[in-house]
Amino acid sequence: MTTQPTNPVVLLTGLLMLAVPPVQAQTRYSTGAVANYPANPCGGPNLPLTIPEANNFRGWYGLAGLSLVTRWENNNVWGSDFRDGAAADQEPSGGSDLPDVYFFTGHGICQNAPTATDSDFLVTCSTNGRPDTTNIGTSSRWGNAGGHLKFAFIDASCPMDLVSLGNNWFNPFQGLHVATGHSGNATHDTLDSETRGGQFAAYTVGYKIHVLSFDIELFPELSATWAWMNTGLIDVQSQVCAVTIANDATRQAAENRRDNEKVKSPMGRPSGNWYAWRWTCN
Amino acid sequence: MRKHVFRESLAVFLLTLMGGAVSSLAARAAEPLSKADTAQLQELGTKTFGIKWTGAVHAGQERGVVAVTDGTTTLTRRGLRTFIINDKKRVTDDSKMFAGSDDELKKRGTRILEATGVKASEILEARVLLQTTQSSYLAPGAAAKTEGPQKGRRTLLVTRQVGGIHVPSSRFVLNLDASGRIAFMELTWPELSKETLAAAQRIRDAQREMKPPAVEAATVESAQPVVLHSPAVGFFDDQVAALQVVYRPDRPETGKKPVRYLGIDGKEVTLPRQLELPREEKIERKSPAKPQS
Repeated sequence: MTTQPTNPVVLLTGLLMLAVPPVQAQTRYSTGAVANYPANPCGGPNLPLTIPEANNFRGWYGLAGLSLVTRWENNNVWGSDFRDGAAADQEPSGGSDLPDVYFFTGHGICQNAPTATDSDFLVTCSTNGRPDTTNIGTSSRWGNAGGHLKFAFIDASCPMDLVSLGNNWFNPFQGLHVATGHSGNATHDTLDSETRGGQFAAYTVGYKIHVLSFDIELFPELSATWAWMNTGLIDVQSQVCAVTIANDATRQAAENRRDNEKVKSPMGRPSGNWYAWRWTCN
Repeated sequence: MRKHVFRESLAVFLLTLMGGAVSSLAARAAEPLSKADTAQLQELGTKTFGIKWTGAVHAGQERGVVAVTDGTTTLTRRGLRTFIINDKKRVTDDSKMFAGSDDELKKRGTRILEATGVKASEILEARVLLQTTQSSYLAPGAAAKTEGPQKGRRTLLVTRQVGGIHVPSSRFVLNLDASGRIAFMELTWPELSKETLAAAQRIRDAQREMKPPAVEAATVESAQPVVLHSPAVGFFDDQVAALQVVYRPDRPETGKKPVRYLGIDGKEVTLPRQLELPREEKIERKSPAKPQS
């Protein structure tokens, strides 16, 4: 009996495949983190922990083998990235509708006592793509006109006020699958946090090891909603709520998507007029 | 009662034994756990957390984090007292979640904390958080028809203090299923070193003299000594004492409050890590082309 010599190219390819994390070609992600909000012209104050928070977010997604689209910070995150349009949220160098997942961390706007007609916002600070303030309900539309965004993760304080959810968060779903954010007010607010975004990211993708031909989840992969329910209340003040919302053709489908859709294995494109949301408060 | 005490003592003994084994595992690559370590971790899951393993289990470790799984339930451990339990079959459905009272949920949580060696004196607060769900139909051109809110699952959240010093990184999160078994659990309650606690005490003693740095467009809202440590999901076990300073934006509508973590010297401390981050080059985005006039 003779043994065939191993082809060195095959061997090298095999070794390389072992060293490279598995590529989840279907899920691409971007982060946008704004720390610099000088009082003039952006009103302040700075949020220095947003940068390491987004770093941690990317760290976990990179470890899971997901593909990075853009990772802009500060002046490079434009307000127009979050508004609908070919030169805006589909702007090729950083629009939020380019990837499947977008994680934004920065300021939002909180009302003293939000009402059903109040708007939700996220705020950037850039010399480009102005204005810096984006009214989500009137300006953000994701998943339309060839847009890709499936998961909008907004860590901006009060971008998802429960009382005004229908006013602000139904229209942005134009193919968008799931969105997460906070509900709060001016005196019950989220804190700048290095931890929250990273832990959220980690639970949305998990971390698997392959041992003796078995896969073991060293850290569990949860749906976007369960990940946010477990981590959205990290570093927040009392009465702040972690909120998730999803859209689909029937109530059951929207609820199923809300509770079960995972970043690494997204469901098909939603269509329809049902919205289902879930929240938990500190 | 005797049986209960014996089980808890055995659980704490197993914890200590495994803690030593886990701390000696710091390899970067994934490796299988030895048969003995696998059996210990499996037994810990059974005795301390009430996991009913179904079928054969497999266990592995990487960078000091160990996990054992039967394919449905996975128990992850890092260090002495950081655990994650995830039951894939029980984690999602609200209708199959724990139906007992809030007090029963707290009691079950307290028993788990005791079994893992958490001191009752370190419990800052135990609260049951309710999840709520709601749905709405928006017909084209019509007003939305919103259904009433529904009660979802309840989560026990336990927070920590040591000697009056808040440890915001420590937490115990517990979701039970209808039969009282763990659907999801995250416990991160590491031992704090004497040095860390002493540093926190020094910060508390010096707090009145410490002057938090001015932050443009914000004023100090609160300041308290805290101990921070690496969170549950991660490969590090860093810990640091700091003065946590929360600032209130001068413009009340500005959402998200700045926070600084200061050492006794008034300088910002290095915050505990979650994972090793790859080096990333600094990049600049090209400004949009201006329209030709």
